[in-house]
Amino acid sequence: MHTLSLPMMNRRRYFSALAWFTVFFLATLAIAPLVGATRISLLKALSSEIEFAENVDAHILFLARLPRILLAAITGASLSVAGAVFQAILRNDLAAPITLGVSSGAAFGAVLAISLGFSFTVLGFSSIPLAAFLGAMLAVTLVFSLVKSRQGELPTSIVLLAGVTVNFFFAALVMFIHYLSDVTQSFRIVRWLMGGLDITDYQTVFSICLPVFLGSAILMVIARDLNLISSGSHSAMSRGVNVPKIQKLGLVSASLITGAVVAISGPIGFVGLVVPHIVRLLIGPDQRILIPASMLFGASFLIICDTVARTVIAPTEIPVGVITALIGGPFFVWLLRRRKSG
Amino acid sequence: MTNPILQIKDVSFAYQQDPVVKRASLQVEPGEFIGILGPNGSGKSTLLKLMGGILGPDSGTVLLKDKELHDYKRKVLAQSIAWLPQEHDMAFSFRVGEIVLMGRHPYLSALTFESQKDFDISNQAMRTTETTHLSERQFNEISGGEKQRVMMACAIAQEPEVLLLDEPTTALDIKYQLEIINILDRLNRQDGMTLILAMHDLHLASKYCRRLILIDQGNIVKDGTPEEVLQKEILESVYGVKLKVFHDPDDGSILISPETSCIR
Repeated sequence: MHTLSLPMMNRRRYFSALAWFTVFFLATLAIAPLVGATRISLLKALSSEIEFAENVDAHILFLARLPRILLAAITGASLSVAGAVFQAILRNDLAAPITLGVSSGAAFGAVLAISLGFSFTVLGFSSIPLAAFLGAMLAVTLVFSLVKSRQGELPTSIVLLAGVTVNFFFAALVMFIHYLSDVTQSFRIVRWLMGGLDITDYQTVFSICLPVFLGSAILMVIARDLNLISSGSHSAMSRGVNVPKIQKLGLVSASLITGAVVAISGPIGFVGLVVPHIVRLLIGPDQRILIPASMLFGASFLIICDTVARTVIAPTEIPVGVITALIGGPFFVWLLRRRKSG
Repeated sequence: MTNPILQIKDVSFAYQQDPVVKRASLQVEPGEFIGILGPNGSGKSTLLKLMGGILGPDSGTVLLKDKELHDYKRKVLAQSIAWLPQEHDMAFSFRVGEIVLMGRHPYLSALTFESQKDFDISNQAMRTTETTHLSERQFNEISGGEKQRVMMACAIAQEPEVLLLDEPTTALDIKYQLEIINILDRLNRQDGMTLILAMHDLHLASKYCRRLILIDQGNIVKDGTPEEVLQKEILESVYGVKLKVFHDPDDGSILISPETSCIR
């Protein structure tokens, strides 16, 4: 009887887990816009009797908070899903956008664009995000060209070492450029490096939707293959996974997603490393659940952190990266300890 | 005379410069139970990986039913050949049931769930290997012998015609060794599954395998029945030790024991 119930259990687990993460996400999405330094009235904001141009509440809600919250959601979701996939492909807990050099590559691109005073737009993207995206892609290409994979066996420790090395290399370049730049540039560089979701509009939010949705769709398609790769690449091959192809697809998609959001939001740390671990502790390592659940939880997590960042010592804002680590760190440690004792 | 299911023709392979398998050739008929023997580093594991299509040969060909392995799609190949490594290193803690279900991967397309049929086959595989009671446990928390049986359930769920096993009994105590080898014996006799095992235990090999292949430094030294392969002179020259070879009076299986001052 027990064995026959196992399959049903699996599917029920899947949908109930996703339902909870969805509810949590929708709740944060609904509550966060109403929280902030200025108290606003939802009724007044939605009221059709007041002209939009004169409706201050509507301005704050729709023009200041909502795009920012949507950006937080997409950024959180993207960093988390990228982390989950990097960890599965490299079979390592420490794999994340930061440890693979993606974030510092983006930082290098952005800082270069700021200091050289680039100002152009291509297809509606302005120079800094574009340069950041190219930097991220450059870093990933560098890391994986440093590593020769033979017969589908990715040498994890070498990839991570290469990632950390590329990370330091670009960090040094960033520091060098920063040192040479003048005060105004220096200020902009520091603000970018801290990461932030503050300067945004709907156009920016929509511009990163395409790469993020495309990348995540590919990752969903290869989710079961990723499960097999995470339990050994040779075993995966013998179960019919085209390991080199799936590794490439996964790494390119995850890097594309990361590059797109880091280009806009800056290098927000901790989310990509820890959210996948938190979700795995809650629902297990099956990528078919882990990918959507990490996206939902990562989105909620960054919305919450950003809400805290912009309200806790309002009107001054704290960089959201500070909050992600300050909230996420203790929470993760608590969860780890609870799991060990339970 | 049936057609061979697996053919290896003049296959060589090197990880770096030094060849690990040197111009090996052999044919496997359906339903055989073959043991591959040889000292550590003789190329047993590599030969097994070449047979499973996990490594591609540097020269020569490996054929499954007269078609080269690399001409198969991975999933199609996986429906015919399964391979089990010696050690099972999971990066994340899956449940035992989830791991066994992974054996169904070659039969599933993207974005689909396992069907009732996949669950039935996986449940049956767990009954065969007596791992049903473990299905809810975390894989990383069960014992070595249990892990080996769970991975075997996974391979059985894959429903292969040929099962390749890399030292399935080496790390286990004698009770677990016998459990594993009895499961394999049943699979071979009842389901006609072709089995090829790399192994170290010469006695166990002589007792269960109907054909043995002895390799040394990448060369096939001897290929034949246990009686033909497990001869004192051959074994002494391959392993470089003085040995006593005698027969179990009850079942005629071959026992091998070192001479007291054994290193030549």
